[in-house]
Amino acid sequence: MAQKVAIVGVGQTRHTSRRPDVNDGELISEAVNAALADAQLAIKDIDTVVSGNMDFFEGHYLNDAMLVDYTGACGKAGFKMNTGGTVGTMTFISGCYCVASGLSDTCLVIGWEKHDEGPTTSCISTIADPSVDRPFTVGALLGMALICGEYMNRTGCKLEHAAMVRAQASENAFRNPNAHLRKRYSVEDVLKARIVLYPLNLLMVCPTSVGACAIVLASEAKAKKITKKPVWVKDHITVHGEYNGNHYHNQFNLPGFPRTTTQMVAGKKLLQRNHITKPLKEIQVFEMYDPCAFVQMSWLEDFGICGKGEGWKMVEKGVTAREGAFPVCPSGGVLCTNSIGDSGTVRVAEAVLQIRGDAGEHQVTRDVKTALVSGFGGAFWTDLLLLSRTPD
Amino acid sequence: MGQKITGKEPIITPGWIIMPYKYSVGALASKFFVELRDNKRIMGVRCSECNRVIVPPRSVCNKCFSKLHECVELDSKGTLLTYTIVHYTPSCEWLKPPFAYGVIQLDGADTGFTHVLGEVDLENIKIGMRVEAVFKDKRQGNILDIQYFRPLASSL
Amino acid sequence: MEPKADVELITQEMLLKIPYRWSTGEYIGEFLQELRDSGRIYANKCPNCGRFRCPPWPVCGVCHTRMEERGKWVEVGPKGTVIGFSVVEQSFLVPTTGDMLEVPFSVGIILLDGAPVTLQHRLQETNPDKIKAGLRVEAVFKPKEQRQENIFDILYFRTI
Repeated sequence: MAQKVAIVGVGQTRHTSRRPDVNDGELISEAVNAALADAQLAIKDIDTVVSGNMDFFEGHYLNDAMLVDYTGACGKAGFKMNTGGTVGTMTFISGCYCVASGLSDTCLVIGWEKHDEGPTTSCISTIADPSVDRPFTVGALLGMALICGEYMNRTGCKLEHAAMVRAQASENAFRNPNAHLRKRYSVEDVLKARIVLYPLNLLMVCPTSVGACAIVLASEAKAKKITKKPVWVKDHITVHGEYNGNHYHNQFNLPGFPRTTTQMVAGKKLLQRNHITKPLKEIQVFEMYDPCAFVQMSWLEDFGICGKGEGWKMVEKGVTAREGAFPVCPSGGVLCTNSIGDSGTVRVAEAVLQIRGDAGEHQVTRDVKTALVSGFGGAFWTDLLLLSRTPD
Repeated sequence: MGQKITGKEPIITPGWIIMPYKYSVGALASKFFVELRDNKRIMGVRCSECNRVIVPPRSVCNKCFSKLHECVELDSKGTLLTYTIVHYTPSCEWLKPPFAYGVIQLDGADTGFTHVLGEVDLENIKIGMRVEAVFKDKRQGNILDIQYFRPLASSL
Repeated sequence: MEPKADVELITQEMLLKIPYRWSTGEYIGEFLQELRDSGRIYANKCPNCGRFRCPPWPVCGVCHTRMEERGKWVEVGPKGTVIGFSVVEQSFLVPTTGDMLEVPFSVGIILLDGAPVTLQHRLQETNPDKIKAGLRVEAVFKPKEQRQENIFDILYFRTI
C-alpha cells in the first residue's frame, strides 16, 4: 500500500431484532459516538466519512442524504457504498483506499442496517434479472441452499456438521454482549429447527438484525499519536464473480469447467502475496462472513486455510472453537448477528478487539497477532482482509 | 453500439416492485408526531450550543454534532421562505396538479419546514407571506396531520 | 436520547408500489421468442474459453470475449441432469406481485443435454427426498397457444 493504514477506534451498537426507539440516524449516532470515544477524537478530527448500507431494505433512495447530520459527513469528503452483503467490508476497504492514497489522514467508516423496517428477502430477490431469473429467486436463501447441497454431495459433510457449526456459534454469541441471537443451542436443538428451504433450517441461516458499527482509520503518522494500540491493515482484496444468471454454475463442477469460486481466487492471491504458507499457524483468528452454517466449512477450504474436504473435519475436531487451534467467528459470526450494512464492518471490529485483547468474555485463548476477515455477498462476491498488531 | 442480432422488435417486460415498509421515527420524532396528532401542536428541538431551534426535530445538530433533546413548542404561524408550483403528476404523486409546495420558517424556529400550501391563489403567492398551519380533524401521527399552510387573513 | 417507558413510539407504514418497464435486450428477447415459437432452448458459446451461457449472452463474463452470434447458437435440452436443487417450505413476499410465494416451491439447477451449461427453473417434484444430484429431468412446455414469450413458457422440469 502507498501509505500504511491503521484502525484507531471501533464502536458498535448492541444488535437486536427491532429498535422502534431509534430511526436510522439515531442508530448510526450510537455507533459513531462509540467509535469516536474509543479513538478519543471528535468529528472535527475526521477528514472523510464513508458509509455503507442497503437503502432498498429500508425503502429509501440515497439515504446518506437524509442521514448526513448523523454520519457527520456534512462539508467533508466521502461517499456511500451499496454492495449487498459485502457492503460492510467494502465500505471499510474504501475507507482504507482514502487513507492509503494520502488524500485523507483520518476516515470514519460507518455501516448500519434496520431490517425491522422492510421485507429483506423480497428486496434481495430484485438482484435477479427480471425476465428469466427473478421468479426463481428467494432472496439470498436459494443460492445458499444450492451451494450447501453441493458441499454435502462433494465432500461427505452431513447436516450434523452444520448443526455443530451453529451450536458453536451460539456458544460464542452467548459471550458477546453485542451479538443478536445469544441463546445457546446443542447440536440436537439445531437439527430440530423448522425447515426454511432444503437443506437449511431456521437455525442454519443467518437472522436479520438491527445494528450499526463504526471504525476510525488513520494514517501511520496520525495513528501513533492517537492510540497506543493501533491495529494495522496489512492487505485486502476484492473479487467479483460473473453474474451467472443466478445459475451459480461457477459453484458447481461442470464438464470441462471445474468449480471456481471468488473465495478461491481471493484466498490464493492474498495468502501468496503475503507469503503465508501455513495459515493455521500464521493466522490466529478468522472472522469469516458466514451467512449459513455450511459455508463456514466449505469456505475454509476455498480460502486455502485447509485442504479440500477438510473443512467439516476441522469443525468435528473442535479446531474452530473459541479455545481451538484456529478459532472461527468467536463473535458468533453472521450466523448469530446479521444487520447487512454492518455485518462486514462488525467482522473487522471484532478482529480488532481480538488483536487488541479487548474482546472480553469472547476473547480467544490464543494470542492474536494476525487476523483474517472476510466479506461475502452480492452475486457471490468476496472481500478478504488481513489485519495485524504490527505494521510490518 | 452493440451489434444487432435479429433486427426484431425488442421485448419489454412490464413489472412492479411492491413492498411494504415500516419506518420507525425514533423516540424524539415520536414526541413531535404525538403532539401533532393529540394536541395540534408543533414541537421543535433546541441546540443549546448553537442557540438554534430545529423543526422537525432531530437528535443531532447538523452544525455542531451535539445531541439534541430539549423540546420547544412553536407557533403554528410562520413566514414563507420560498415555494414552487407543480404542474405535472409523477407516477407516485398523491396531489392533483397544479399545487404549491412551500418552505416555511415557523415563528421561533431557525430552520425551514416543507409543506403544501392551500387555500391560496397560485398566481398570488409571495415570498415573505405570512402563513398558518391548518390541521385535519382526524389525525394519525404523521406529517399530513397538518393538511396545508394557508395565508394569514392579514397578509391577503 | 434514552427512550422513556412512557413515550409512545411511532412507526409509519409505507407501501412502495412502483411500475417498471424492463428491456430484456436482444439476446434474452430472442431466447424467449424461441421458447414461444419453436419450443427450443438455446445457448451460445465463448469462442475463446469455451464456456456456454443459457440464455445466450453477448460477452463472456470471464474472459471478456464476444460470444458466438445468432447463427451459431446451440440448441440444448430439453432433457438434463439436476446438479443442485432446493425446495422452499417457508413463504416469502414476491416483490413483482406483492403476493406471498406458494410453497412448497422447488427450484433446480439443471445441466442441460448438449453443452456444459445450466439453466435454473422450477422442478415439478416438491418432495426433497425424491430429488438429488444426478436426477434426470425434462422440460415441459405450455401448449403453444398459451405461451407468452416469458420463462414460464417452460412450465417446469419433470422427473423422467
